[in-house]
Amino acid sequence: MPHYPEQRYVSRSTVIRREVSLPEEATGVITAKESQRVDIREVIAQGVRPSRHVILDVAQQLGLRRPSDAERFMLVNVGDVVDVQAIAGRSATRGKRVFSPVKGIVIYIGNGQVIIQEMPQIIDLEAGVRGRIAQVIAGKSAVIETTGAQLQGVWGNDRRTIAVLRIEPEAGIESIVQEQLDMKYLGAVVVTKRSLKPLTMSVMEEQGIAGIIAPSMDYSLVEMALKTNGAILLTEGFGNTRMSRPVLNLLTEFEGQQVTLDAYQPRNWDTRRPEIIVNTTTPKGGENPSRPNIMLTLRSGMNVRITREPYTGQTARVIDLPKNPILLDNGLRVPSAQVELAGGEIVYVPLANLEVLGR
Amino acid sequence: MSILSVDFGSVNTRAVLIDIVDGTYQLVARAQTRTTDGFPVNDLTVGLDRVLRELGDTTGRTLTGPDGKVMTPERPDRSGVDIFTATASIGRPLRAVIVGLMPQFSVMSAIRAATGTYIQVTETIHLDDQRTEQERFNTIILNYPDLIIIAGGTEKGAKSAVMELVELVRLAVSLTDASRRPSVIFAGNTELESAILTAFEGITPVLIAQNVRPSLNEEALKAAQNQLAQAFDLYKEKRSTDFAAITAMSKNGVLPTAQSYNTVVTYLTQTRKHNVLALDIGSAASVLAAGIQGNVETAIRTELGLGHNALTLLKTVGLEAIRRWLPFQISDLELTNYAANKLLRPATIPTTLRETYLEHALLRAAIVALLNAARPTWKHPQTDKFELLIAAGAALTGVGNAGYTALLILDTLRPTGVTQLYSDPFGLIAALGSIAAVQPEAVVHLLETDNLEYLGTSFNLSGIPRLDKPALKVKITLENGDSVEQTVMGGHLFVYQLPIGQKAQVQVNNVARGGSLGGKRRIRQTVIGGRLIFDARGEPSALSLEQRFTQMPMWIAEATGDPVLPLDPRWLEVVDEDEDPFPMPLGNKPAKADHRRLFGRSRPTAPTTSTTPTAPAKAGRDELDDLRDATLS
Repeated sequence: MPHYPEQRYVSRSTVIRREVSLPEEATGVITAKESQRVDIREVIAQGVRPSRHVILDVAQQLGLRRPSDAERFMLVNVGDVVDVQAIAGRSATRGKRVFSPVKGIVIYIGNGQVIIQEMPQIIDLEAGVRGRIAQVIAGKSAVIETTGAQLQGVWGNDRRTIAVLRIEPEAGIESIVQEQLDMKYLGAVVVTKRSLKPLTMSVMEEQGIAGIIAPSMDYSLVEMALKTNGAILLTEGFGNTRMSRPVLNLLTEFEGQQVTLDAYQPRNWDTRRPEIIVNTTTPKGGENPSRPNIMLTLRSGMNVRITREPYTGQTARVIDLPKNPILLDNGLRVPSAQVELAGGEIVYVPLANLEVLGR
Repeated sequence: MSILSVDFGSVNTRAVLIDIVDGTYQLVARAQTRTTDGFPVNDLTVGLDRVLRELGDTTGRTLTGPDGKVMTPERPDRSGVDIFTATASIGRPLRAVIVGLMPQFSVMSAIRAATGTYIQVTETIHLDDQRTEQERFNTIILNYPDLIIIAGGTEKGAKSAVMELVELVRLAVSLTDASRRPSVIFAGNTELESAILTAFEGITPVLIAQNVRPSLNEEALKAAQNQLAQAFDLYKEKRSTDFAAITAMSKNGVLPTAQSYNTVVTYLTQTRKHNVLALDIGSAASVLAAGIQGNVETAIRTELGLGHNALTLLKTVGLEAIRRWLPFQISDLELTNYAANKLLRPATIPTTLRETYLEHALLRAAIVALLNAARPTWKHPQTDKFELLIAAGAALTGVGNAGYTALLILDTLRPTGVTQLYSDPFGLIAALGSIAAVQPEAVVHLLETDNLEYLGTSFNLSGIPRLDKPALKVKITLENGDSVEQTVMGGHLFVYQLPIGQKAQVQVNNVARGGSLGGKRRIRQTVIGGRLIFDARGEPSALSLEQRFTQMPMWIAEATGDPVLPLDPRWLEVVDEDEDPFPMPLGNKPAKADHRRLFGRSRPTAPTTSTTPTAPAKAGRDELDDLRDATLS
């Protein structure tokens, strides 16, 4: 059977279909319409996250015998926004009254009770890319289609930013200290070739760097990364892996351009990936943007990226695809490809450990 | 009658084609591909199409029509199939809130019913929970459940207390946005059924099941489990159009894969009068079904997995539970980095020796955790004598060597006495569970004709035999009268490969002090063909690090017949833990001394092995690697 390899896009010119979704727990509306053109910062959906509810037993607090009697003493209606104020009583200003302890929305009146939902968190969802709305899934998401460069990473800290891309100084991000502040990194997305360290994140916060694209970091830094205000995206994984050459090459190519850095944090049950998108109006080098090929099969001659030790991050060329599983040096016998590494070394790598980077 | 069954796992989509050959149902062909719910496809039906194409290529049959759907029934030209069924374990489990009267009765029974499918019980609400009405209300609203399971009230028992809780649930559900309202399953006092249906009419769908706790001393989970399976299907169908398309094609919707384990183990334990244990360690979830003296208990753990849930597994079992299965020193950081990378790329396979031990340590710890959690729910929790063990899941069945798979099972399940070991590399159990409801005869034929992969028969010594001292005396007498005699030393395995179809008489004597062969001193057994494994290791997880360092590579060699792959002695050196595995709060900028530490020293990297004999070992990347990369990019 043909092998359909994992695809993780590192492409300078491709057709990008980007699904922008409201959080799963939120309810809301997609305000954009199909075929509508949207800009990067344009709000295309609005929603709210459910918040805590307060149940007030009005009948009991007013000392009423029958819960249904409470209706006559209501000072608010369903849908009203209330502050810390009287919501029931003979008068809003005098006598025995029931007060709302929170600011919120009255969502239920009945059976002698009032239920107030605390003011919910409102979500304004931005498009994140310049493009055309290809599909609207009511109340959930919109798919935006555009062309440009796309680079998919592996992990993000759940932040998003749109900023100019910069490559780190020769001495690394850590060299951007206050007294030598170079304004070009202020508010920028900075690419580092090195594994992320705590100091890098501190410098990021102190120097107002909007985002960092790094190859890797130790898992122990996740909590710290999640607390930083800037967006952090990893291209390779956890540990001390360096950035693979095709990734660095592509990012270098777009230095000085505005990029959308969507440092989405992968969840167990989600297939969305963190990514960097560069909207390009004219394809580079006369290339027509390609569409991701969902039927792409692994073939001899293809360039691939290896995703596991001892060759993590290295690119290689597929030489052969043996029909039978190969006995590896670790004692496992698994379906593998014979690949040639950059230095000419020829090794077997499990098919499951190869990624195609797109065009 | 031809049957096609497809199982959608988090990583793999597997299909089997079953047909009548010489009067019995047989496995005709199988196919497997990566599950296609992620980039760039985002459509399960593409994976379905791929496996069907492969089955078509293998058998010469056309299985789909011009509309891309599975053709049913089978046409005279043998295109299509008579029955198409589907199972799935993919995606996020359903979030459920359980509402009942008493935690130790109705709530507990509802929880046990929920363990039969992919459900994550996020909260329980009951009369003893010490919550106010408002807190209960918020518990329902803020847990965003997909499902609310209401139990409570024995038959002819409590009504008003149940209805008070139901009224709260009704209010919370009715005030939830219509697009996000959870379904409700009622499995309590049957006298309340019509009141429940009325309460939720026009608000949300209600599924009614038999009372899970008809009396305080009685439990009836089957009907509730069936309704939970239906809720699983409805939920998935509602959430994705591709899932709905598969449901529409399938004879009986899309069933949870885990229920198949229950069905198959029930059949095997009841027909063969054996204790049977089947386990599936998947990327996102794990299943263990135990059939003991005719009673079957199935447990699903949605937090134990080797890919999507590797990190959750690590957090659940703890780092020490993993280290117990490693023959080398390892830092917390290396372990967590490894598990976190598995989450990012769940389908990848270890290629260095060190990472292979790491992967299998996670696997072994997952099995032990699964078993330990399941045992208390068994009617006979101390049971360790299983005549039949079945292993599934790519990490167990995909090592490429039956002996290796057998070793991983024996290490962790530690059966006593004589055990037949099988694996299910093709996803047949998933298929059989879904077929059982529509063509039970096929299930009987397939299970009676050994369509699972036979790994061998193991003779297991319990206790802790003395290392390198005689523990088992084995005599294998072949049909022609020839015999093989072997003394198996403590701490070792002896594997004898009996030619296929050849019958032999096996006699095993326990000569270890304090050891036992399933409670006996001596075992005599007739066996037919296959691998005979004599396991005199005792308790593998009880060894010291140094013992594991020398013995684990030897066990693998003894089980597989491959040469011993020696470990690097430097791996026994205590790991420099100066890298802090715990997070540093923001704002605590390192002092200058820290700055030097972070950037002035390099951490020692663990030695690795290459994947071919010609490839030199690489300790990490260097500047030359970049130059090499540049030539390719």
